[in-house]
Amino acid sequence: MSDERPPEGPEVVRDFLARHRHTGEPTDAAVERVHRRLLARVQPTRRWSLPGEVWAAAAVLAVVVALQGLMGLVGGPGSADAGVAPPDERVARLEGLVRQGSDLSQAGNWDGARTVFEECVRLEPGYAPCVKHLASVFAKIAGRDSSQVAIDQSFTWFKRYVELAPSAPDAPQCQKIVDTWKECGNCAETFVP
Amino acid sequence: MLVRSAMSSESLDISRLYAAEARRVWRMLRRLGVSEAAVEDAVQDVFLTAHQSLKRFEGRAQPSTWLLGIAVRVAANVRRSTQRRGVLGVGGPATEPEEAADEALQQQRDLRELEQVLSRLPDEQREVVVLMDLEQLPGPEVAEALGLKVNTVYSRLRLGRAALALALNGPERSAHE
Repeated sequence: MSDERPPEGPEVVRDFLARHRHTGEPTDAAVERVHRRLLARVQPTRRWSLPGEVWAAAAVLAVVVALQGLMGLVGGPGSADAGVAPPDERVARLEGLVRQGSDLSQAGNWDGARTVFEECVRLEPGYAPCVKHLASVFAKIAGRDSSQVAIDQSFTWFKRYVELAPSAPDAPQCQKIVDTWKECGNCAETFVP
Repeated sequence: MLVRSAMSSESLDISRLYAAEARRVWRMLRRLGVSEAAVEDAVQDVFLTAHQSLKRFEGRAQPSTWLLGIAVRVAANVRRSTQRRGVLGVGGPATEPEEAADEALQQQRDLRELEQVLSRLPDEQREVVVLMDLEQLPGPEVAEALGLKVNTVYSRLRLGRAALALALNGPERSAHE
């Protein structure tokens, strides 16, 4: 079909329309925010296609990730915040990174979440919530990519979390994951596709 | 445009569609009377609706055209619900001038001016003016998105431009142009 649009209107209309052709543009941050919300609503549940005993470890990791949601992202009294407390002026920054990383993770952007949580851990290596979230994100990446490096990272960070927050309610479960990993023996070979 | 290709519902990916069309959908919703406070939910609504309707997308239109139709309907729903609640359609909360950066303040002024003028147009003319004269879409695509004949679209465009001239000039000047 041809586009035989009518001739443009009077000058005042043309000027007005030309002036407002870009009015109402959203910011990049706003577009990204809605994208994350959208993905969180439409993201299909992903099945991990891992063999043998790695399935068991992955299942335990998934339970921990789910528990994180139930316990709150930033952590209430008695949660993962039982780790080494950072100086007050940095807490808001760290909590912001936890929220940002959690949003990305929930939207399925695990690589983005990993970057955020690594930044958080770099800023404050003793801040337990970031350590726990980083461990969880590496577990998801490991499930997605069958990545030996990611699974190693995941268990390393879970181990670190237990060291930082031994009295946290979810510490025993994280310890169990670490123990499972130690007992697994040849997990590295199992993870190779 | 990224998604302008022959796509079926199986190959149409909502994330790619969002990446390609989110900004245009956002602008359109604002220009069709969705307030700043409501626009994020409305954008999400458009793409969720698209996602849920993917199976019904038969590939006869471009995905972007199909999405425009959804956006126009979502905007109409938002306008209706806003009118029922008696809330001002567009503009959002006023920004205190002294608190706003110059650029942000200018954007706010532009948006208010645009809304004030567009709000004087009947909805059916406003939709066509926004899609054709502001978004620069071709008549056939707008006709497809709105489910109208192309001649009807052009007719509404003429009327819409006349109404715009009236709104910008006042009745006396526009009658002579």
